[in-house]
Amino acid sequence: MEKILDVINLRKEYPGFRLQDISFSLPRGYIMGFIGPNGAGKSTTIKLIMNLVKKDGGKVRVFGRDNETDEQEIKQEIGFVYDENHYYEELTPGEIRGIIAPFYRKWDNEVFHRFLDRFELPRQKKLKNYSRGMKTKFSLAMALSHGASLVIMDEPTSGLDPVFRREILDILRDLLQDEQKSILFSTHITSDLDRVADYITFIHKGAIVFSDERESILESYGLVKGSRELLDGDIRKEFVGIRETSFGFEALTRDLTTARKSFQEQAVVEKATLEDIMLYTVKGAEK
Amino acid sequence: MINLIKKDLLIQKKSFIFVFFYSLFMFVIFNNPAFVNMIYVMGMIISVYFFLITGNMEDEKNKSDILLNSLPVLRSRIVLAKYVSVFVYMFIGAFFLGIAGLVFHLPLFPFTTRLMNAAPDTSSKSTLFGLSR
Repeated sequence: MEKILDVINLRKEYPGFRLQDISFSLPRGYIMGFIGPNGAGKSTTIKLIMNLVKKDGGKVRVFGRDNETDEQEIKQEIGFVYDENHYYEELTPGEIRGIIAPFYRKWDNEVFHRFLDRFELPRQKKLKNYSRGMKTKFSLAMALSHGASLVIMDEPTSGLDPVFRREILDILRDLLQDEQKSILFSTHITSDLDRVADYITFIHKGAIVFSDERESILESYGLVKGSRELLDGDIRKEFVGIRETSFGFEALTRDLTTARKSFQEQAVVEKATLEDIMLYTVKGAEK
Repeated sequence: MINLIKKDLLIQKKSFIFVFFYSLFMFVIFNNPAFVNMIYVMGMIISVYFFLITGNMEDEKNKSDILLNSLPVLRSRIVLAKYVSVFVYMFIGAFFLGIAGLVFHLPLFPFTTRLMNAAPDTSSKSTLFGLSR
């Protein structure tokens, strides 16, 4: 399978934070959800891929090319959406198009106008009068109008209401149906990914916890619910994270089938959601 | 690079209006004969200063450095464009000052002005930095 994005042992150190040799890759035509709590290193990774900050070690290969030596060529084919609007607020969409379009060889005005219509973005209004959701949609329209094969999104859904969020996710899913695009999509709202992501990469404290297909993650992780008597030293070690209450416990296991066999009738074993996985992994790592 | 300079001008359309009216204003307050020979130079400096500050402020306001660095454009070009734009601003300033000078040169106004391309007043022989003694 052709790798659109290949991150190999990427490292970056800041005072008080370290991105420790992270690796993952994304094949053509898929959406990868990039999840993790706030401050886990999602934005730093995306900045490193976009070459906005200098890396301390490792390699990033986009379309099989190095992202530093072939930066210009690669960026021709990358669309980006960031969590905040970085376009000029005093201008209208058309004026911003006039500024940005000349930088791209494959800019397509027709596609751009089609997106403006589809997103119902008013052309006369200045960007500062747009709502947050409209700004995100505008960024998305800009990112998709130059024939990008990789779209990188840094928390595009943060700060949006559920209606807008759903809409943006639907757009992303539509995009992948006919085209050869890949999307890297960072978020801390895990329910976003239930709808769209094919691959999920979970990053915590600057390290990758897992990076795999969504289906296989959801099949391997399980949530065990039972009474406290079941918990002893050995079993505790088997769990990724445990939450105890006066009534019983809930714990996350990495091995759903074994857990089903070993607990059988003694405890309830069910599939974990991404949110459970994130929650218990973070909780487990604190100890 | 031309795109980047064009961008700097497009994001500050109001500066054009400001610089034009400021040019007129300068001819009024500096209508003393002492300033007659230096008003164009002074005006151009103010024009460059104003365009440069406003342009950079607009970039800063939206953190547009992130946007520019995400575009397929060399970082060195972004910096070079900022330097070259100084000359563009200077010519814009000169243009507006020229017009303002032309306006005030009309016999209608009681101001001491000279046209931009006209030779300095030769009647006052010794000048120091354009100041008549």
